[in-house]
Amino acid sequence: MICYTLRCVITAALSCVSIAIGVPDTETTGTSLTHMGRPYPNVILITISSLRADHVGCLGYERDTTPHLDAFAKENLLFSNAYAVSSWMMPAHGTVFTGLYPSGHGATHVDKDLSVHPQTLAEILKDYGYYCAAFCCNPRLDTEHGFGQGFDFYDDFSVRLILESLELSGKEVNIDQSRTNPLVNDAAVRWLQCNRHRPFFLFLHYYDTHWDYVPAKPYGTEYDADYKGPIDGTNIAREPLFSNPPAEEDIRHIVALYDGEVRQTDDDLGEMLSFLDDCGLMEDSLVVVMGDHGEQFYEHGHTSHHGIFDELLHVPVMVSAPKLSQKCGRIESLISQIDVMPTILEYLAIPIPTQCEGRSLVPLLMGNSQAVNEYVFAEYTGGAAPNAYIIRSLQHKCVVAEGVTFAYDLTKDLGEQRKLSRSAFTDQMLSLSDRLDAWLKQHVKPQ
Amino acid sequence: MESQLKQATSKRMRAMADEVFAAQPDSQNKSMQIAPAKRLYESSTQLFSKPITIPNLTQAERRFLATYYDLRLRGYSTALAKAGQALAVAEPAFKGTYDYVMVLPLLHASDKQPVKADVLPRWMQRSVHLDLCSDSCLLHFGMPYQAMELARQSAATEDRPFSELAFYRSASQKCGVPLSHVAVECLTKALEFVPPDHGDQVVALKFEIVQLWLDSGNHALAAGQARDIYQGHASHAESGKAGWLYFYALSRSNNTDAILAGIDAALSDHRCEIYRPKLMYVKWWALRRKRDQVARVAALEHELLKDYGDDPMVAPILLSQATDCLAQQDYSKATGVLEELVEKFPETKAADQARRMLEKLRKIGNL
Repeated sequence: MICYTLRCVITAALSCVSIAIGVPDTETTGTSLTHMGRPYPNVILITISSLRADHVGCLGYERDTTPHLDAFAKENLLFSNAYAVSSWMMPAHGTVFTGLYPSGHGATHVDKDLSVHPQTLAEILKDYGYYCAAFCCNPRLDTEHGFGQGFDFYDDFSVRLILESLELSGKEVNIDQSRTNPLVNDAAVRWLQCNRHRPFFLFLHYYDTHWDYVPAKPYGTEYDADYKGPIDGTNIAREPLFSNPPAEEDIRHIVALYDGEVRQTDDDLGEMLSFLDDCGLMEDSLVVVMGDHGEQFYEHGHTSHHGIFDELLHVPVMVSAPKLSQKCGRIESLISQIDVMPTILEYLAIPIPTQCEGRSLVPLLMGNSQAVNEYVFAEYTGGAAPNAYIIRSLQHKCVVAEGVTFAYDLTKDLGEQRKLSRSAFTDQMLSLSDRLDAWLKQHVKPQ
Repeated sequence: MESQLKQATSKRMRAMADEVFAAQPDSQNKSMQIAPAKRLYESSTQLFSKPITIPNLTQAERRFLATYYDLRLRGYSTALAKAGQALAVAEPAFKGTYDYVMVLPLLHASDKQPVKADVLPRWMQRSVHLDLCSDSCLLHFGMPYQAMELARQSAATEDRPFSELAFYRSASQKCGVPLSHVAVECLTKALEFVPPDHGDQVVALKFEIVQLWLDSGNHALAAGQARDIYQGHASHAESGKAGWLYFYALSRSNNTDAILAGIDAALSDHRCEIYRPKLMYVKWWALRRKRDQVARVAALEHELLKDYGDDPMVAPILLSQATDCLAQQDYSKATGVLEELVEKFPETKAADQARRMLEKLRKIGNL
């Protein structure tokens, strides 16, 4: 627990920050910190694995895959141009947790852990009196890889334990093919029902949308019930499926199974949001719901999620926050996952550490600004595709991959099918390319 | 007259063939693509189910036509077999001869009318080939009845004794989990041949079906079959096991409502006595899935730990209790529960996790 002396120091610091962003007052009363004259809001961060933005209803998908997310987006703030910093879970979550690009926090490969040096969001919130708990069942987002850093309670084990205890045959539990979200909800709900800590930071991660795509009934047949081919949703990320596109009808079925997983996960999210609502927690919590990265279905020759194309980086981000002047709406401004940590901290009137490379989105949340980013960066160094670094504006994307620079004109080529070589660059592309070069010099050590 | 009938039948068969190949798009412009045998069978069943009606035939004429038809069938099957053999010589990986040869005979068979061995090429009417055709029916086309009939005809060619029951049991094992639906169909057919006074054998076969459904991930079907044993063979010595498997299968299919609707009755059922800790665990799991059953979960945990505190199944429950204590800021109680878990069940994965949590608690100075 935070000591009184420290709390006084923090309060003083918070007062300065709150004045800077126009928040009326920050004070302590009794044993708990207050914010804007009320108890400090809880922070609930929910990430959904492999959720690509263009398969979300409120972002234009034709299938009704996400009724609960859509309802949440309708009542709160939806960022329609949000981009991941990488195309897979470890670098993406590392960035959300540290405010650093993957090259800075280090979790860029399955063999590389989150660096112990940067302060994590949980560590900072803990210093400000938050109790930090996490519930997830992602084989990579575990304490062994450093993601539990700063959390008082990081539950990356109970879902697997329950699944194993229910496996009569003694077979090894395959998390990629198991239904884990309801058990994450079970553990989180149980914790919330017992929890006496205020304020708290709760991190939840839903993994079922990650391959393999084996949605439970009835979700498995929701979108392609008549398919009779060989695809069953398993081994999606392995050869030959990984890099050998099957027949059109098989690809359609892969997408249908993925959509079934999205629909199923949306129900799981809906259950959790209803629970939070019923407990009255939505009223005094900052809730962020987001995809960690996207997924590809042979748009660029592969399945799974390795690369720098928009189907891998464009993710949904939604925010519900008490006492916002702009309560709901769609924000078209370009944002990045790297902005999440500074946003949460500024919203709570907690100083943003200098390590943070993103920008606070609070001006957007408050309706005081139309844009905070002209461009965003992303990188892929996971090993399953060539190393690549990108800078993206709303109109263009510049890429450096294997020492070659090229670009896509997203105003004419949204699917990123036509590479433009440097000789064909517009002034805007050249400008982006220069910025990317500068960013690379700052972030990437020469090989 | 015979010549006219032959002509009429041949004409009808040509018309049907035209109908099949006319359905292939751009058949003239593309090289011939041969569909897998099963797909050929499935795409032609509707066509072959149409009756051929030639009015005003006498019984003798009908018999003649049927025999003639079978001979033509044998002719086509022989041609297919030859083609298959040639293909096998040219392409050693080709193993589909028997599958393709079986397509036409199977199209003329039904659930009530078995494949006749004499429509197969003569050289295939020997035991060794009939057994391969039987396997083709079973493993490729998923037709246990036709497989059994061919196996029976195979046995007859060598005057071997034949048991339908033994055949279906062995066929079920051949199919196994990868062909679980066919395997279960085999076992279901086997049940028809169990002598009336062999109740134990019936129950054993039904348990085999439960296991097949469980192993193949068809948990709802496993639950249904287990319930059938539990309720339909209530006086059998193993009916309690069926009761446990019913609720276990329900848990695997995430059917918490059905679990909570019936598990209390099973818990007080003397037949399920030895499965009580397992049933209580499943109830605990199901109650946890409900969001408004905090008190019932706590009471059940208390009862489970009191009555079956030495059963390793309670290890995850102890871990869960420790988590509750942490959430309630009761660190000393959490520590006590974790230490109890490590001491009682040191080999479990829950104990490994408990050790890590204890280490963390020590580090942050709450001990």
